[in-house]
Amino acid sequence: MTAARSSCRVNRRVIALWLPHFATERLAREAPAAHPGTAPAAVLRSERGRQILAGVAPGLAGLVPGMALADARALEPALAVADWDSAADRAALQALALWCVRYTPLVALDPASACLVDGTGGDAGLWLDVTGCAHLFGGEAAMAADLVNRLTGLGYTARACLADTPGIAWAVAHAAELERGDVVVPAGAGLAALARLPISALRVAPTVSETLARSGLRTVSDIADLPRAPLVARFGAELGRRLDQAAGHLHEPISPLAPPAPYRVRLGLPEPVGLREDIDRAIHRLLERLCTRLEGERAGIRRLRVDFFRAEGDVRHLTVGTGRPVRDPTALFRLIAEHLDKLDPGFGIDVFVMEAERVERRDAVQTDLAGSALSGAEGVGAVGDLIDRLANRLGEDRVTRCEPIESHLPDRAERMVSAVAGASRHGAWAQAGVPSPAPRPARLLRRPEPVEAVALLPDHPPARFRWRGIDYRIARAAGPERIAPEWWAAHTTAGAARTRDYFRVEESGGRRFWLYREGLADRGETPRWFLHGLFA
Amino acid sequence: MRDPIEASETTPDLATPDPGIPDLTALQAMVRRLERGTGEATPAHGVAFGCPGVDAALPGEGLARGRVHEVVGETRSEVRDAAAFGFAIALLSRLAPDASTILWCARSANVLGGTPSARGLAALGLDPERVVFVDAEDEADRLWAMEEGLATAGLGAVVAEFDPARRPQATASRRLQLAAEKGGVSGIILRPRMTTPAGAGDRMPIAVETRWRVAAAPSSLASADLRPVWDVALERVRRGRPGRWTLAWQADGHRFEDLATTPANRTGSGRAAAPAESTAPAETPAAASEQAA
Repeated sequence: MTAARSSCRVNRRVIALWLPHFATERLAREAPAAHPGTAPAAVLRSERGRQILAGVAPGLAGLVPGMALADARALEPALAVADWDSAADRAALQALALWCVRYTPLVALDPASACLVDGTGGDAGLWLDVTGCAHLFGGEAAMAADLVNRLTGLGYTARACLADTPGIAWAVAHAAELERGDVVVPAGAGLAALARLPISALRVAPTVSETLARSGLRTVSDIADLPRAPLVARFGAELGRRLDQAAGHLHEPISPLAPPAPYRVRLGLPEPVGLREDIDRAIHRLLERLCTRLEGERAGIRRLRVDFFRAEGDVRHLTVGTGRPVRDPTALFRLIAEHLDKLDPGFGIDVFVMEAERVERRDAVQTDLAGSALSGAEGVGAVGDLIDRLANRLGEDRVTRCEPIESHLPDRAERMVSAVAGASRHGAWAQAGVPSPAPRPARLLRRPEPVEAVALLPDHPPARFRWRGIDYRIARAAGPERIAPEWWAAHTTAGAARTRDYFRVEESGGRRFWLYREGLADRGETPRWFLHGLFA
Repeated sequence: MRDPIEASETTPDLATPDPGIPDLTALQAMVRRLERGTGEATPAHGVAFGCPGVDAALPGEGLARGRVHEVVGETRSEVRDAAAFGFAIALLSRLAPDASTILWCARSANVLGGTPSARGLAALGLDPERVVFVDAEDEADRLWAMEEGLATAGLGAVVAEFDPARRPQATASRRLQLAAEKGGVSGIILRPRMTTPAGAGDRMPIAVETRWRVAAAPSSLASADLRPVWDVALERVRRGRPGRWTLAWQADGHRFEDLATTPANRTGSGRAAAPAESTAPAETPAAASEQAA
């Protein structure tokens, strides 16, 4: 590495974060909150047929990672153990790394973490390149303290060191006896901080540090000033490289975690296109690229947006939504094609950008040789596609299903919900007791209409009534079915909600109606008649 | 020049036997092939109505699946009764396979006639969970939605309500019929009677498999009071015989019950106007027997 390169990095500041008990603390964090302390105190892995401790919870004296389970049980008979799930550890560490992006966009996983190398130790580490970020958190000391405090709050034992190079920061975080969880090595003081640390803090192979220790070379300062050539000849190039990296003579890059790539594809054309066939082809190509990626990730699109960059220098958008995750290019194209008719390409479109704004998990469906789904849900996909197409053209609120509401008032016993918004609750109507023994009319008027009715006695069904200018003579009637307003409505809105007596009536010609009488005569209310629905 | 769609309907003069033609069956088969354009001669066996009288009038002894049927109300709008609506639901319950989704293209502007009530659908034997309502104000949108639905294999059935004056015309109905044949989904066009005098426009031929005219009938004919009972006239049917029955609907068993069809039982109906189907081919016994052969 040239001197120029290292000098331009002179201001680099890096945090090495070490979570020594990551494996067990992650399990404790995920344990149900109702039973704290039930999480296992150690995790196990098999090595050559032996069960050994891969990670140990803090505060267990005498137990160290790498110890055989039998030995550990001898010391701690009630030791609760679990199998080590390195994949879950990796996922949790990834998530934690993304959380650390609150401090800096450059966060990397420490490749020496146990879950990454599948080694013993149950620890994990992160790098944070915080160059130029510390002032946002009130200085370096405050930033390191904040990081450790928050992690402690999350249930992790954390040690952080902020130093000039990853090497120094790592060495101090892992090896130094820290009074607090966090320490800041001032700029330029790295080598001094390193001097008293054991050679293993340089991240060299254990065999190297053990051999050096046998020769009496125990700390970094012991080897720092030795002639480099014989040292490298005897112990390999790595030792020298680690020394140089720690001192800052050799740049040590960290590979920051890439943020999740957006589901976006772009197609730039040398010439603007305006013909519908060309636009269709471009859309097809973009969809294929997007859907191939989604296929691999077992995901599907819920909302898709296409931007058309027109040659005039402006952009047109269109957005389509689907009721379930879709990754079939043909189905998506059909949704988009609905809107392409209305797209004005102007002088032409030279860039297409397609982005899946909402992506959800969707597992592959196994098909038979003819391409139809093998599972019992045959044709369900086609119906879902249809609902999507309808909703995209007519609007989501126009494609609806009916849902029951728990009310015995016929006016508000059901409501329309979008059929797109996901699966409807199955059995909702059966739960609501539908079909009920009390018959309901096939069509309900939006608003009950007053009718002029004549009843022989106050409590009787009407003998005749007049509705919308036509007289009906009633031949048969059934009822009444008394429906009282909800108790809170009956008392708050006087007059607005009154007890109704519903009658099913049939006029002499056979037409069947649902009439009700509102108001009870014995309460001194004047009865009024309304027509509310039509029976089939 | 005869309109091909009109020619495809069973009209009296087509059905009248011509002594010069030796083999009527062969000719009919040819006409069917021309109609389909696929060589498939007869539709698959339909869904039996459950009433021998009605089934005998229908080709294939039942109502054809994957075809469009038309249900016409007796009154000029749904304002006065829901008989045609109920009959359409009854047809649906028989036509749509169990638990399949049903697309209902409603007319939201139809405020006067009320809105379909889920509990009412359930009372007629149709699980409201299965119904997806499509609210399309525009006729073109409603036709499009119906056509899309009919072409979607896996859907149970499609119902579309139409304005009497703006029901699908010859071309549109032919498109619907083709879409239904493609997807194998049954469709029902539900509309009130035309407002023109004597329903003259009603007889304008459109490509539907059957057309039913439905009016409410007194439930005194049925076993229980206030049951759905309808006066059902099969006005137009391909390769079948028009007829008229009084049917009661039993929601729990999804069953039609053919009440006695003798005129004596119909006197109590008190229907205002005589139905305008006096020219129905069923009146021609010769034609009827030929059709049966």
